[in-house]
Amino acid sequence: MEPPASTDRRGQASLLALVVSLVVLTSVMGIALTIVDTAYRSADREPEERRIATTLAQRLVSADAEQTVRANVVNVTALRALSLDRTYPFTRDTALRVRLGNETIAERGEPTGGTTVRRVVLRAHSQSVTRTVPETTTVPGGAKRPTITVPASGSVTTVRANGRVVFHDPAGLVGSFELPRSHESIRLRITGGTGPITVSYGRIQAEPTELVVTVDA
Amino acid sequence: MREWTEERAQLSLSLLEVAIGVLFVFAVVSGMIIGAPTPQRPTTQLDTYAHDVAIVLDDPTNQHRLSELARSPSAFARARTTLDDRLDRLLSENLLARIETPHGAVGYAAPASVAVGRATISTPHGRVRILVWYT
Repeated sequence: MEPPASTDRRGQASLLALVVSLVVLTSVMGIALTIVDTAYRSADREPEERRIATTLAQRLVSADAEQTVRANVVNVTALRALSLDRTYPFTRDTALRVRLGNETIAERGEPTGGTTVRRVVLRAHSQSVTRTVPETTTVPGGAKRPTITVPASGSVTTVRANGRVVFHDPAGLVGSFELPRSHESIRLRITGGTGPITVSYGRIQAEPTELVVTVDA
Repeated sequence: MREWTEERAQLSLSLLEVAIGVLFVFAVVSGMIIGAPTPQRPTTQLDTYAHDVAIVLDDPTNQHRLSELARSPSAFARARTTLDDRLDRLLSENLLARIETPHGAVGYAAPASVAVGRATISTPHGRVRILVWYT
């Protein structure tokens, strides 16, 4: 009797199929490992630290903080006088360091290896400017309490700001006059002056620097 | 009759093994990825810088505001030198920036392969975009 024909037709793995499947599997494994590696490498291992640092940096430069003149413009004296624990209680149990430019404003513990957040800010300090002016001059915008002082000879009759008459006295103006404050620059025109007329105002000088907040929770 | 049953088509076992192998590997990998902590965008700090530049340059008490650049080509031509200067002085030396407006751009061109932080200001006349990158 013949052996059953089925032994000639046994299922046999073909070499080609085996090779192809090995190649496919290996490459899939390689791609998968690359994806996982990238995901882990760029992962943020300290989200809590980052959250504290970002929030503190944002609060330090925000427009409605006590130590800022406006958004991102910081008054250094007020910043130094700030008590971080009281104003920002969420920073209480962390080691941190706040630097403005080259100066360390606050440091607690040793925040080495913590998360750092940097902000570009302007360091503001007030300055008062007084100068003698010719008949037409410009006072820059944002000046605080712009004041004109007229000589006692009393020859100045009219002061115009941006084309509108603001002070007028046909008999001659005498003394100091404060101009209305404006965001834009004020073009002054003074008629009838002989002798020195002085203009004085306060101004904020701002110097760009970086605020660096490092937090190690 | 007998030949017919002997000629049955057979599913290639290797193919099935490959399919199962691939599915298995993907199942493990997705388990690892889903469990991994969220990646932080590498340009977060650069985006913050760009945002700060936008705030500082758009301040209304300056002679030329950032949003003036978008107003019209003549306003752009008037304001660009001042803003170019201020942009230069504002950032520290390891950073470079560029302002892009509908009427032109101010500053250096960013190299193509570098991470760039962005911030955008919308004005009634168009958008002004700030790009910041490390040198």
